[in-house]
Formats: sequence, C-alpha cells, structure tokens
Amino acid sequence: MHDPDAETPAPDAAGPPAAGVRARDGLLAGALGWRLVWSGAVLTGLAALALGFQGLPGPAWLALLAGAAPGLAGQLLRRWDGENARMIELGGWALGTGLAAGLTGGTAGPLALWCAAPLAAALTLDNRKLVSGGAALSLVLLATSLWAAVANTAAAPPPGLSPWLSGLCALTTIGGLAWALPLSMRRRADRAERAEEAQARLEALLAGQPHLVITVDAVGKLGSAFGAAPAGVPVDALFSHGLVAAAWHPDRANVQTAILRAATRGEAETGFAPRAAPDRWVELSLRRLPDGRLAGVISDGTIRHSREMALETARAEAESLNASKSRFLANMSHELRTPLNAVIGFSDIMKQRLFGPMPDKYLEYARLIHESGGHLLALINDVLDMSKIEAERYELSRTVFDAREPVSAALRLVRLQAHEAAVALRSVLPPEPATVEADERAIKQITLNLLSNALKFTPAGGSVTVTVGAGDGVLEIAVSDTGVGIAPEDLDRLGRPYEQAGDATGRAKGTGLGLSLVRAFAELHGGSMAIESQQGEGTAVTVRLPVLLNTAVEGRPQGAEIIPLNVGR
Amino acid sequence: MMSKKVLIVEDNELNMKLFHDLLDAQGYETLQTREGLHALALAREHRPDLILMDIQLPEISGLEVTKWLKEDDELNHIPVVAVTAFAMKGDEERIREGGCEAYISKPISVTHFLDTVRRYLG
Repeated sequence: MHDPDAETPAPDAAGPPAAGVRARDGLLAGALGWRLVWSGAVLTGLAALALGFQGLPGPAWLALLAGAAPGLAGQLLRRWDGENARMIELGGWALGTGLAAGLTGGTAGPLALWCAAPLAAALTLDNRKLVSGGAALSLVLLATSLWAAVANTAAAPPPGLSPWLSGLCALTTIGGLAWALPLSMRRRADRAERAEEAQARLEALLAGQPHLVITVDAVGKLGSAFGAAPAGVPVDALFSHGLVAAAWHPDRANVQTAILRAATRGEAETGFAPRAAPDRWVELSLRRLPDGRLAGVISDGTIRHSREMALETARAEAESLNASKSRFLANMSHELRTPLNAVIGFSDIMKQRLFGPMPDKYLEYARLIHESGGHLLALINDVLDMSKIEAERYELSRTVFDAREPVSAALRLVRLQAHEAAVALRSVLPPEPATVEADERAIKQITLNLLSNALKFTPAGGSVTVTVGAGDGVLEIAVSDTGVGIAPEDLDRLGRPYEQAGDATGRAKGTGLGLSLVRAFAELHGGSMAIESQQGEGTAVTVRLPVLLNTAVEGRPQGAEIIPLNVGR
Repeated sequence: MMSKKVLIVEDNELNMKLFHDLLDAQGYETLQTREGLHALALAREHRPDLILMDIQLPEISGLEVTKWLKEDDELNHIPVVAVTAFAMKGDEERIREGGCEAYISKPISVTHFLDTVRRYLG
C-alpha cells in the first residue's frame, strides 16, 4: 500500500506508469504544435507586412519578432521539460508578448490582445497550477501595458499599419485561445475517463479477490466492504451490526482489542469464530489508514486453525506425558534405593564377617549379593540421570578440580572387574594436574560408563586403555579397547537412549543408557562424543569437553561416600 | 566407662535394623525413633552423643528437626549426621545450612559408615 506521507517515495513513484507517459507525450506534442503554429502565423504576418509596407518601422519589426520568439523558444521543452521548465517558458511568453505590446503603445496599441498569450500558452499545458500562473502573468502584462499606454512611453505604430497589426494580433490570440481551450477541455475529459476506468478496474479487483476487504472506524462500524465474505460472516450483518458483533461472543473481546490496537499501534492480527458459524474460524488483519480509518482483511482460516489446534493439543499431551514419565522414574529410583540400602548394607556386614565366622560358600554368596546390589544401584542412577536430562531438569554442579581424580576413581571401581575378565587395564594420565571447571560426578560417570562398556565387549586377553589429554582449553578423555568392535550400521544408533549394538541375543547386560549418558553429559558441558570402530579389532570413544582451566589449583581431598561439610568448598 | 549413645532417626524398618546392628556390634548404645518430633523429646531426655538423621521422614523433614536441635542451647552441641537416599542438587547446601555436621548417602558402605560414626564419637 502506498503511503502518501512517506518521506521516501515507493520505487514505482519515481516515474508515472506507462499509460501516463504516453498521455504526457501526446500532451506535449499538442503544446509544441500550438507554439509552432503561433510563431509561424506571426512570422508569416511579419513577412507579409514587410513586403506590403515599404520601410516597416523598426519598433514594429522588433515587436513582431518578440511576439514570434516564445513559440520558437518553447520548442526547447522537447529537451528540457518539467513543471519548472514550463513555468519559465510561460515567463518567456510574458516577456516576448509584453515586449511586443510595449513597443506598439501598450493597451492603446494594436498588439494589446497579446497580453492574453501567456494564458493561452498555459492552457495548452493542461495543468491547473500552470494555467493559474499563465493567468497571473497575463494580468501582470495587462497592468504593465496599461501603464505603458498611460505613460505613453512608446509611440504607436503609423496609423496605416495599426489595423494590420491589430488583425494579426486578434487572429493569433483568438485562434490560439480557440485551439488551446478545447485541447485543455478534451484532456480534462480524457483524464476523468481514465480515472473512472482505473477506479472500475480497482473495484473489480477488490470484488474478485478471495478475501473480504473492509474499512471500519475506531468502534468497528463498517464503511465499505469488497470481495468474498468467508462462511459465517454475512456482509449485511457486518454493515448493520458492526465488526465486533460478527464474532461469537467469547471471541468478541479479541476483536475489540485488535481494533483498539490497530487504531493505536497501526496494525493488529487476530482470529475469531464467527457468530453465525461458531464451528468455523476466520482471520482478521487490520491496518490503520492515513485518514484514521482502519482497513481490514477477513479470510477463512478454519483449516489452518484446526490444524494448529491439533498440533498444540498433541504437543501439550506429549509434554505432560514426558513430564509424568520423568516424575515416575524419579520416584521409582528413590523407592528402589531404600531397599537396596538394606541389601547392600547387610551383605556388606556378612562379607566383612562383622559378627563372626561364616562358611566360605556363604561368604561367596554374600559377595555376590553385594556386587549385584551395587550393579543394580548403578543402573538406577543411570535411569535417574537420563530421566533428569530428558526432562531438561539436570543441572551441572560445576566445581574446580583435577580431572585426573575422577578418572582414577573410575579406574579403581573397574579394576576388579577387569582382573576377573582377564583384560589388561591401562591408563595414560598427564603428569601435571589437569585443572578443570566441570561437574566432577559427571566426569567420573563418563569415564566409568566408557570403561564398563569397553570391558563388557573385550574378550579375555584383550586390553582397555584410558587416555586423558589436556590442552587448548579442552579436556579429552579417550577409552579404547581391543574388543569385538561395532558394525557400521549400529554406529548411528549408539549414543541414543536405550539403544544397543548387535541383535537381541548378542546384547550384553545393561540398559543401553551408558553411551547416551556419556553423550548427554558431554553435551551438557558444551562438549562432544565421537566413536571410531573396526569390527573385530576394537573401538575407541573420545569425549572432548571445553572445561580446562589454565591456572592450576590445589587438589582437595575427595570422599565418594562421606563428604565432610566443614572442609571449605 | 559408659558406652556412647547414638540416636537413630529413620522411618524404614530394615535400615533401622541395619544401623542398629552395626552400631550395636561396635558396642554403642542406640535409641530409635521413626518420627522427627519424638526425636527431639528423646534427645532432650537421653542426651545422645551422636544423632543419625534420615532426611526423608514421613511427616517432618529431618532437616527441620535438625534446625530445631541446633536452635536449642542444650542440644546444639550434639553432632548430627544426615543420612539420605536421594542427594539432589542443592540438598547438600540445605543439609549444611540446616546445621548437620556431615552426611552419608544411602546405600551405605559399612566401612565408610563406621568411619564417620567413629569420627564423631571419638
């Protein structure tokens, strides 16, 4: 939409449309022709008089040349056109014909009628402002000529010449006016016709387009309406009851607000169920017009709206489902930990023979119960962590520590397992402290999960190596094994929750959460996890975390189970 | 010399038995309760040398009971060790603010449990 008040013109405002160019060219051609004929007539008259009167007086010569000059000079408009150029050209007419009248006795002289020449020339230009300018110039000329006559500054031409000059003057002026007037009037008529056609085309466009285009005032009363009304919005009712009443009553406040917002802020969008068809939905878009009224588009949005509603419902359902799943898992984990305390605690007492000796077989059973309890606890912790991460409720508790500590702690936890599986466990740790700011439990969990995975999939006689690297602000933990490796088709799935490599029978024990937790913990730290594997040769998983600090701080004593609170943290 | 007294505040029967048996085997005397309010009364009556406080109690949180203990001029010298099954982020902070001297997370390790108890019973 064009805004007439806009400071910068719209791109298509730089020039009139093509039809306008042609009309203007035609107009200019008419005006130039008029000027040629004018000069031709005056010069012909001059030639005739020069032949008829031996010794035509100098002032008469000059007067007629001055009278012919503006018409010739006007041809310059071919090259240099515009409102200013035309105004200057009219000034040339006043100068030329004024000089002619002044040289021949002013209003008392035979060329007095030429005072009307600027007006006549202006009429051919078909512009209200120029016509007024021409008329003003003619009046000034008349006044000047009157003064010239009264002051008698110029001698009248010889009496024998005057009638001829009068005749020429009358012929050119009256002929000029007679030609210019209809020219101007016909143009005006053409223009009006074109405007009507343009309006008719515009109205046809408005009526034919697929939405209902309306104008309303600030209270929603309809000014006009064009186009196709959507089902449930009868145009008659819009006119009689206004825009707000077209909405089903629960939605009326929305429409009211939208009208108010458009009136104050310039635009507003809303939607409402129509009163006549509350099962449908229409969309309303409002813009403020320069005159303060509002222009609006009403269109049918039933299908889009119901699609959006369905999506929104599905999203809310999925969210609440996910939230209840997370709640369930959190509660479950807590309920499972309490009996586990008894299982682990009592078997620990038996294992340590706290109340006296026990047959070796029972001791072995106690150890197995204790170990299984520990395994179950690790699984519960994994499920709980994953559910918290999935619910986006997991918050890292970042502290500053030496990254070698949690890695060593994880190594200690799997040493026995490695020994029993006859797998060599190696570690390559940097000699200097790798000071990081991270969640220490997460780092330990990452290392532990990678090590347990590697041990699970490495046959007896193989080896598992953990390497810690530190540099460029990045802590790198890599665990490589000489195990069975991972098939290429399984590589993509790994690291997604509950996914495991291999078929159902070949799967090792576990929830399939190990790697996905590693990836999730890495991503929570802004880091990444990469898996490289050759089937039958082994697997290397590398975790990179941007958590390394450059300044070394002193390590502090750590207890896995007991955390004395009087130690400064 | 009189044996040291430990007050156990714990709502789970099995865990109570576990803690009691462990402490009993070490020659400590135990007082037992499942309720926070009762814990306060027992502490006032028997003046135990250490209190093991379960945080997830059915009615009043163990943290609340600890706060009352620490506000009581006659009882605030008794060390309180929190025992919790579910260390959420921020719990440690709250346990410390509540005035507990240390915390033990469930499931316990017998060795760590006894080490901690011994540290506060001398």
